[in-house]
Amino acid sequence: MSFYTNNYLIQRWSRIALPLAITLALLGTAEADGNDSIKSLKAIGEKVAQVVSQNRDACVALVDGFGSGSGVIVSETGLVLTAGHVIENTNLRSFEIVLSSGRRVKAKPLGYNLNNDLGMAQILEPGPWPHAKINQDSDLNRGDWVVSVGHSGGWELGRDAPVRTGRFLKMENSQLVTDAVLIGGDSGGPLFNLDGEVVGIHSSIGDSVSENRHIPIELFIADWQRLEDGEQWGMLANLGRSEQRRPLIGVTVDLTADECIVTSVYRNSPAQIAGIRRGDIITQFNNSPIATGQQLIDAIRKQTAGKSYPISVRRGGRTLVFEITPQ
Amino acid sequence: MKFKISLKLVLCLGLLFGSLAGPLESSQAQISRDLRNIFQSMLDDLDDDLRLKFEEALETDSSVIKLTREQFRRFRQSPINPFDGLKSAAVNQSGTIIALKFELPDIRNRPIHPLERQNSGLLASLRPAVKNAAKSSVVVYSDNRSVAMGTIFREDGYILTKASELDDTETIRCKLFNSIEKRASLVEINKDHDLAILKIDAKGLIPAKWANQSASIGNFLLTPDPFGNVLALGTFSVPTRSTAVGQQAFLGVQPETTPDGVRVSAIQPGTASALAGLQDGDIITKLNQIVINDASTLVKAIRDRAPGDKIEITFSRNGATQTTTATLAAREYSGEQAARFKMMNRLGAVPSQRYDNFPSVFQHDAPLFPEECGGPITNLDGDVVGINIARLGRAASYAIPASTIQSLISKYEIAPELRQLKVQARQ
Repeated sequence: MSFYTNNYLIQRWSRIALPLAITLALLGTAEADGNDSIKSLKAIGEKVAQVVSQNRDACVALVDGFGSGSGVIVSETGLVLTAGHVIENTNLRSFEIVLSSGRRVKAKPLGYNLNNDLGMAQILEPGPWPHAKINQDSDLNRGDWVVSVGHSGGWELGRDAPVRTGRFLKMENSQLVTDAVLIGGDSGGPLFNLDGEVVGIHSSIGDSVSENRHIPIELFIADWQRLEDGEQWGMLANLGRSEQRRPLIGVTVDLTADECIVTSVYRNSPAQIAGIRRGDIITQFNNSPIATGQQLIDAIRKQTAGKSYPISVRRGGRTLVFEITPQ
Repeated sequence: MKFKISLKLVLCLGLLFGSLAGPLESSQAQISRDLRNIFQSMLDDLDDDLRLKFEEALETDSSVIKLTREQFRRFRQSPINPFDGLKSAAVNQSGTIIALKFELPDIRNRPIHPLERQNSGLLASLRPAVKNAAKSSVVVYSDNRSVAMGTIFREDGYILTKASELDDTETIRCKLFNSIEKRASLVEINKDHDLAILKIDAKGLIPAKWANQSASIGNFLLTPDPFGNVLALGTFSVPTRSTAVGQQAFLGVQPETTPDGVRVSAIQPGTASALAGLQDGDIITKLNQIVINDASTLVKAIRDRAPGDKIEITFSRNGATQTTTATLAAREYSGEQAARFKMMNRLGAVPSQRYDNFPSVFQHDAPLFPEECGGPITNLDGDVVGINIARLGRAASYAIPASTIQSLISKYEIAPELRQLKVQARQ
């Protein structure tokens, strides 16, 4: 699957190998002596304070009257990076950006790429806007300290976006995994390196406090023009549980029913593209009969993402056959 | 954009892939303390029918909950639905009852990646910083369970701890840095701050050395146990504020700092600001006699009051200065959003039984467990910057700043015996 084996990832990993060895060696000696360790942590703390004071005004909340997400301004003209799922869920009519000063400005969504959870928005009032630098060199190494800013739990009057720290632990499903803890409302907020450059955008979390996932800034750089042009594409993946991404068709089914009833179809999913609708009863997949929702899940899990299969559904009195390409 | 869609997917899949075909569980697993807390915290947000099921489980000490298909459907749709704790789902022979078995991942003993901030090597290397502060820390036992930590604030045995973790029907004991255990008596409880003052029979203890300066953004903070270990490393996240949502006064404006004062907007009909006649674009210059130069002064001036209080607002509109009187309201959150947040908060964390409504706390991100609250939290110099008062959940812990603590205990600056003598002398 191209998701794992694209050039970007291979290059990234080979770059990581050597610096990692050096970092570990340095940490080993530093942590052997308590005073050195305290001293170096103090120095890191000073950098964290600097990162936050430099970038506080660029860290924003996106609010639409129903909920809120986070974002970061990255250009003088008011381009805002956020997560794709934040933009996709935004109420387009009354969408505002709240700055650290409390000022609210109108903004419009630009593009999103839900495959990688990338999103971009544009502040509609004239700048120049305070903005954060983005990391162009992809030089974040495992074990590096990172600073996380975002509006945890939603934007709150009288509270600046909480600051958290952690370290870059690993790459997984082409996302950065850190132990800088995130929670709902943080989505779209920036992850900084200690030089104060944006290295990632908050995306999702897992069961453990060390499973916090951020979209690497390189993925934004790769799709920058399309996002800025307002192009909207892709579908959200299962970013969590598994190391290996299972093929998905983008429907939910009723697991308690005696038939395989489609209860919802995700926007832009393979199922929607194939023509499947809510309420359809799936009867066959890849020429094997499907009697329950569980059977469908099992059948799809065995297949390969990117290959096409026939799928039969009952709709009203008719049976329809579609071609579907799980992702 | 309420919360993370991706998270929703992750959580949903946990259920989709759960086995629905197995036989009904016959043995009823006992309920752990953490799961018990989770069930209890869910009760308020479930409908009557489902609440009954969870109350029944709590009463019979069972982690298996049996639902009809209809109840199951409703439970799945509930925002409080704890998918993270769902271990398995089994259907009975006739297919009418679904048994859900809950089990929490072992977050207390989870393996820690060597690169993580909480790795044992780094925490051990920070021990020298807390050498002294650790001696001001105690472990508080209610019967034989360790329920909290405590902070010694007088050499003659006065200790602060987290009140809501104590059970007043049980015997309280404190374990000191030298592993000596002492019976403690309860002197006083301050419900607002969730602090209790304990007294043990001792002399020559080492009271907390309060930091002269409050902690700030970028400071790393350490939570020691009495034996000199660093339990957790955290970062200062949010400066001191009130989290007393229910009692928090609310004007209902969106403030913005300008050179002339604070411009307000987003005034919604029915809120205190609208009822007082404020309009979008008005610039507030004074609240009662307090001069308002920036948004944070305005927020603080309002926070310092209670719902129902009347305040006089001086503002300018189109260049003309006017005054009006507003009656402050209480702030409210929508139920579903709060419920969903509660659910996420438990991912990888066990929240304290009481984690909100504090008049004065700063926020940090050290991953504490509920029984690790009540003790001192220090800066890297080992000075005590506050007392950990709650684990809010996954991404936040709260501590009461040293300055607040010092004013709360100021009346204990003189030993009670001496105070007693003074009173007698006056008589």
